Amino acid sequence: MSVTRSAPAPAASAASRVSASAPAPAPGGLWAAWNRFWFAPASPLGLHVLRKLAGLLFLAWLLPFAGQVEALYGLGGWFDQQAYLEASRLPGGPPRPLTWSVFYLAGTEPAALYAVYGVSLAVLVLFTLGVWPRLTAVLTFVVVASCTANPVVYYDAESLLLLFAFYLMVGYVFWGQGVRGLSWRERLLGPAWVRPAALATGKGAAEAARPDVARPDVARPSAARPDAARPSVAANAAVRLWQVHFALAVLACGLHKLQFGDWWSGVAFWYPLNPPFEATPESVRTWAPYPVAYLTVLSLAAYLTLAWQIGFPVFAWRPRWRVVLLGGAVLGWLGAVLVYGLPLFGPAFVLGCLAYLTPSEWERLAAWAGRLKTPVLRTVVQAVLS
Amino acid sequence: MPPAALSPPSLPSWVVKAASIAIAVHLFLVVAALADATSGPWATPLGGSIATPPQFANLVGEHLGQPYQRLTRVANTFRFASSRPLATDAIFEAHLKDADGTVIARLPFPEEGVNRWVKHRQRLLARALAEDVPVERPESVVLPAPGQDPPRAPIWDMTGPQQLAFRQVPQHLVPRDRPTFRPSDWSVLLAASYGRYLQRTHPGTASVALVRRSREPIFPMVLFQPGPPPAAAFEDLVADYGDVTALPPSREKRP
Repeated sequence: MSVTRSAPAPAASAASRVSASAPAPAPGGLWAAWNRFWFAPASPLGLHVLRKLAGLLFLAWLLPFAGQVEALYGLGGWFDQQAYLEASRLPGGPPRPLTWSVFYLAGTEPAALYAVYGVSLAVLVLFTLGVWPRLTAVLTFVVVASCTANPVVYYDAESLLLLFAFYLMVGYVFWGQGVRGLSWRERLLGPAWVRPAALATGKGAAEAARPDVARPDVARPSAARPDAARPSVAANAAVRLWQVHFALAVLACGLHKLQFGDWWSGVAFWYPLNPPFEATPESVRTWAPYPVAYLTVLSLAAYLTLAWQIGFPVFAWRPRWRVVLLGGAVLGWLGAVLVYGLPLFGPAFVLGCLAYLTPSEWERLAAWAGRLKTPVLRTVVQAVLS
Repeated sequence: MPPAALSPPSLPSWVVKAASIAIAVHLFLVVAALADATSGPWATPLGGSIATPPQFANLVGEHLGQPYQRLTRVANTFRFASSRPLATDAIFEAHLKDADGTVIARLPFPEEGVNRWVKHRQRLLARALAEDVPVERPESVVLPAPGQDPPRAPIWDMTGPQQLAFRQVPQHLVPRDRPTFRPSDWSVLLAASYGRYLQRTHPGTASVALVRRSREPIFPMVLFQPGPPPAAAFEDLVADYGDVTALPPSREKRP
């Protein structure tokens, strides 16, 4: 995005207001409602922003393991080839299903493993930038799936990364395929570079947002053309799938907590705050002078967490509850880092929640970013939201 | 509120129908996978009991869900380990030995000096080595055939206060006067695999012994007690896996 956002373009705002805030018409019964939910053409801005944020998250997740490629991903690592064979013969099977990974093609050869790792990073960078998104989205899913194949170090938050990568792949594989006149290369790889120029500049956004308006100049996806902002059924369906699946995941996570008495009694956060190897006789007695007040705060936090997770499907789609949605996700991020010391859960939850934002809300965020005083911060935020 | 719903579907009806079927099947498998998990332990008159998954989810999971999960990797249960508050924490030390049995290096795990993301993965492996399971005591003594050894059972043998050693003992010698535990098959498999990894990456290593140190969490009731908890609450339980590179392969799948 190359223009300042001090005043959002009227055309773009009008188009997005029509698209995002107008309540969907109700007639037609269940089938029509189903069709509207999944197959109404929608601005792909949300999909593009989610791609960039997910790409950054994937990179932040993968880069710290640069020195441990053989140990974590290779067949000669912590979980070696013999372990895979033995795990497949375990009574009842392994705790996690054994599955595929492109790293297995490299076997135990360190150079080949590092080559696969390097290519994986390159794929993630290209995907984040929006280069040949159809191809790089598929490869990104392959990378994320391959890097989560090791059953020893599989971490819960990685199931969310898989979810994001899968639906981004679905979205970009089908996005723009309805445009007539595409070459085979464009159908397979996608445009050379995704850049929703119409929404970035505001020029021609209203027209670009109307699927019934013929625009020869935007008939083909192109780096410099506003076709990336053209309403897309695939973009809507992919974001919808992400939303529904993520809501189910959060609900399942909340309901799972109800299996443990410590969540019912409200002391669940006590344990991560006092990890066994860090707790000392003095540290666990820090709050002994105020046990009731301390445990009241902990129990309130535990019940708010339960309420947020179990109630998630109720408020996630409601724009008026955005503060609860995003505020809860950000608090969860802080909690995951400060209480649990888990580096990935927080950003994954925030990203999952951002999928519920409508294109008009993304535009409002971009306009706000344009008013940021710090030039570096403004440039970074605008680059993500463009 | 749907995002940017501009107009009714503009796709051919057959595409809409085909995509609808695909979405419905996908979500059905996702929901079945969510439900296809054991739950508990639940309180019963006989003590804690693990409940089986609902039959429909189990049936779908067995025939469709698992292949679908292996392919797409998105049909998870989303039952996060961090939701389970009471969890034993564990670290371990690897003793690398040469051909004479002399310890040539002691490697702590998680390692010092690695970044926090790597350290987190190392903690996952360490905790996986602390998944002990109760040993089922045989109802009766099994007499071996003449000239054959009696069947053996792996157990954590108590060798001292807070000290355990992994041993294979004759089944009839499994202690009957106290609960006895053993590392899960999964833990044994991981320990052996990690031992082989250390052998490969540290030339001159003939065998690797793993010593696990685990510690139970402190309960919040300590806040209401007049003084600090007893020192024993902060002591490690030391469990010696022994030479993990010589561990027998995990038991084969039962018929």
